[in-house]
Amino acid sequence: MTCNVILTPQNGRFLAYIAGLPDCKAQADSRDKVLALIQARLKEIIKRSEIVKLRISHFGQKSEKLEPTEKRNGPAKIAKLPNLVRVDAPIAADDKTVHLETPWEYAGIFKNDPTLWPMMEEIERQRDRQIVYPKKKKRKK
Amino acid sequence: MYLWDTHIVAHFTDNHPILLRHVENVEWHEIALPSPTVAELVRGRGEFALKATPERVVEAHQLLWQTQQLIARFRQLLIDDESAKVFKKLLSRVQSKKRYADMMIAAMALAGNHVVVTRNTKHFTDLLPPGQLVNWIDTPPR
Repeated sequence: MTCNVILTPQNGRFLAYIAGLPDCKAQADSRDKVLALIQARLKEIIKRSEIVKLRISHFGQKSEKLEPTEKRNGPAKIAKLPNLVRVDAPIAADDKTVHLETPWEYAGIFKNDPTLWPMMEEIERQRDRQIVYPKKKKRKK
Repeated sequence: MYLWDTHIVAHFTDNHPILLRHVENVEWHEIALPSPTVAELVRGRGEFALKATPERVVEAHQLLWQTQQLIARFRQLLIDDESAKVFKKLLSRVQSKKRYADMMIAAMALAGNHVVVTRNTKHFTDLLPPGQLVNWIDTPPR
């Protein structure tokens, strides 16, 4: 899992909070310390909480174009902020990896790429070329 | 987990409406790219980047970079020892001609009790039980 941390130097100290989780914050006298603190705090929160995906948009409604919540509020805007760092916080909860950042913003990213499907055809051709034959029916050279 | 075959990723980047509806119905942590899918995507974009003409070289390398960013957003499933054992078993018992990469992905699904998401279901039908094979392109969600 990765998440965005807003890191701000202030009066010789460092303040950090998790983007989207303003209550999860920390401060310390060095960058490394504040990142370690915020990581530990995030782990504590996730350990005793669950992340519920609340669907606001409904796919198929003409009045509202498909734009999942992650895409609307997602890291595209956040990524432009200065002093943004990512903290890796490996979390094992019932063998599930919690993704705060999802691939949603990549849906349709190659829609206008004329090379996408020729590339996929080539990938399929390459897969077709690597064939396993039954032992008794080996291909004659 | 739902293991995406390579062309499913391409459909996702092409906004396939039925696929997006399926994606809406599951959680992202239930979807993973198996390592053969990652290898094919990187190879596909990589070959284009390495062979590009001066006119297209910038575009080709940007596409490779974007593909790497896209892959990084997904959960990825690496082939493990258990999958390798199943893969070996499948190779030794092959009854009709099969594609090597299909067998690799099928072995990962069998070893970890995952579901393969593909449009090429005919290539997997005698490798996987019906419950471990779905087509999220031609079959809309219920």
